[in-house]
Amino acid sequence: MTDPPTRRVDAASLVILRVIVGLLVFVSAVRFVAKGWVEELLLAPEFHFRYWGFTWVPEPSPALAYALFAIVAASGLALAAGWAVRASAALACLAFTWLELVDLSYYLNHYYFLSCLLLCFALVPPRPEHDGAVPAWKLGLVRAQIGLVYVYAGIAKLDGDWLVHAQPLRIWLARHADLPLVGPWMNEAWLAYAASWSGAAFDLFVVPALLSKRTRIPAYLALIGFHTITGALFPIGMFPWVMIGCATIMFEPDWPRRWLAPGSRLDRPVPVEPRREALAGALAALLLLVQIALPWRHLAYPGSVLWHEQGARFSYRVMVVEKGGAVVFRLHDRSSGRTWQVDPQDTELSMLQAKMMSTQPDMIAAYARHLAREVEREQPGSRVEVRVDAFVAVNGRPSARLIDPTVDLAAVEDRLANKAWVLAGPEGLR
Amino acid sequence: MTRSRPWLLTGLGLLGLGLGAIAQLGCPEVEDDRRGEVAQTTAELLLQPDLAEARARALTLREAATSLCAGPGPTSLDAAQEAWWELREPWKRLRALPLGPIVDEGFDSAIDFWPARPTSVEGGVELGVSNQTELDTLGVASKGLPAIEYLLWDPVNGDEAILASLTDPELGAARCDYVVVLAADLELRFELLDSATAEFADALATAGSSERFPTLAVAIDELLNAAIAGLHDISEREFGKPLGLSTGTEPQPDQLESRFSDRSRTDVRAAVEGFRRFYLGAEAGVGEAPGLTALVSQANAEIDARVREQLATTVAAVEAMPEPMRTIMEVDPDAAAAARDAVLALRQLLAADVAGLLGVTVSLSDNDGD
Repeated sequence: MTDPPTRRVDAASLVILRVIVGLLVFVSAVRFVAKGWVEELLLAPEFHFRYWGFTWVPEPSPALAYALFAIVAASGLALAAGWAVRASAALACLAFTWLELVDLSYYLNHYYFLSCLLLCFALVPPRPEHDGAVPAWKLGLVRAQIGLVYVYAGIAKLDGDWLVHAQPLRIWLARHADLPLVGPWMNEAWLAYAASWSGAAFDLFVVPALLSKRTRIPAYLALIGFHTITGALFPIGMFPWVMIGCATIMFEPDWPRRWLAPGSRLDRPVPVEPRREALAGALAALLLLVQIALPWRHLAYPGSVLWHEQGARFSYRVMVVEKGGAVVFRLHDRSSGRTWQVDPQDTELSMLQAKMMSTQPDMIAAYARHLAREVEREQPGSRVEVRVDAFVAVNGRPSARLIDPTVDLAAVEDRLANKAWVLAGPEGLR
Repeated sequence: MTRSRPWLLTGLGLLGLGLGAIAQLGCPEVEDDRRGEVAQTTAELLLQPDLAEARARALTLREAATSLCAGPGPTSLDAAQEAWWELREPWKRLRALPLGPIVDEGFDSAIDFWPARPTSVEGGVELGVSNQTELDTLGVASKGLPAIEYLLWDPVNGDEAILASLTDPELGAARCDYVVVLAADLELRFELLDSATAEFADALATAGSSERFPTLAVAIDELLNAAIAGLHDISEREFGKPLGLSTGTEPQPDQLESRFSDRSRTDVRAAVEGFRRFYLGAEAGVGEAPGLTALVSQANAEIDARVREQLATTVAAVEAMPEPMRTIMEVDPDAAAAARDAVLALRQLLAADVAGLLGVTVSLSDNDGD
């Protein structure tokens, strides 16, 4: 990390990373289709919660949705094989991000990470240049792209709920109290505290520990143990395997050569055009800066991000909250005077969409606007106001009212400004 | 080296003591994991006994229907009505936890498709359906508990009108045959449900090692999600829509459950009782069952107290509603609204507080988290 940025370093570790990521992208796409999630999550719902600023992204037709997954899978394989690396990464990023942007109910930190990593690959292709090496700044950028997931996951854990109350790990570990041998410990407070503190320390320090020669081996063994355990205990899909693979980039740049015959080539060198590379590198650095800045935006909003969720997405706040929510919409037509209620369970929302919406104010407001629009479309002349009774419980606390029940959410615009209609959180979350 | 040996031994000794202390500390002070007990007793002390009771009462109803048609009169009609009424009790308690074959295999619709559709029932009568094979060709709206209720009760003209219809020279015999076939079908449905539930109940009772419930968390998730769905049915289907409370429209008495027999409020009470027994277990008279309260109180006593308080409020609010529910919006709309709000608040507590506290996952999807 202290190398001069222009020093040439072996591209071997980048090539191996590219192969790992390409294969995992392929497996993830196939897995998503095989599990029936394309139909269940993307095609079946009649309503989708759209990302702020991305409502222009078209919802794919069934054929296009499957085609996009095919593109993701094929470009993942191409990436692994080293075929048209920049184009493959760009195509995978574009198709994957398009699918991701269809519905924010399915936002996951590792989906966001994968989009950013693929974009980083498109800008800084992980392949050897003419001399079989790459400038150190390229390796540094990719390392930073991967390392910031851990660092921000660690920073998010420097929080009262995590460190003082060992939540939500107490809740989550207790669910596994029937495991053989270790099960009885899962209900123990000391284990939740030990796991919380060591988890925070792990996230905060694993990157420097991996970069240092002296601590690399134990750090990587710890990393494998950490991700294997979290993968076994929690429903986090491919994330552990992605991170176990990605962390190899912190090793020495030439580490794969230990297993190769001397002089053998990992990948075909590709001549580069220095000015274009520099420009792409600058864009990659900008992408990184954006990712570094975004997690701090929650400080611009009063109260705890765990409660109001403003600034929670795109922040790598991995596994720091367990929420339960219940919401009922109260509609009032000013023209007819009719007042009625809508229960999300009786709407077109899927169970997952309803569950995700129930704890996130911007999604509740988005659905309120949709309800008003639908009624006004079906009943011309009606003027519908929508208020909600929304209750949320965070990390084992008793629930509290989330949204001001007097505010007409149909009239609230989707903006980045502070949502003043979100009420103050309960004790400990203000 | 020799001089340092005592220090080495002392060091090793202290290390051993330290490790021992750590091991002692590490020994699990086992806080009872009562989830298996909750799953097992829900299967063995709630589902199966209620189902056995319902099955026995379905037999009584079939016998009473046969007697009614053998000799239609006030006494035999009363007996048939009473048998129908009594069967509703365990059935409504069962429906408070809509899980297993009841919902998975469509027994809820086959046994209790409501609101009743008189035209569909009359269609069965007019077709002269008199045996199981003929009945099997008809849809669920023509049979089940609501169809029998419609044939046994006339809320406007009373029992005389029912007896007149059963003894009518033109259609009386067909009507009576239809009642008997419906009751026999119901008995058969409960028999089938009982055998289908046996396997489910066994899987639930052995949750953690059964294929259906490989972990206790899966079992508790399903139980809690079912309880939430059951409360949703009460607040929306039994109150919200028929009374116009959630729709903002005029009350629609023809959407009420058990509207011919005026058992609507009693049905609600039985459904709430079904939830109460699930939540409170032994405290609600269910043998030695710990009830869901055991898990909730273990994790957060304050949330458990909230649920208990809201449950008591709900029971009281339902009790306070005047009968019959089909006229309640004219007589006492506030009482109806209070009861419905109480059920809604109870459901909110389950969906937000209890689900969050137990880390219950959403049903029907397993998309990766975080």
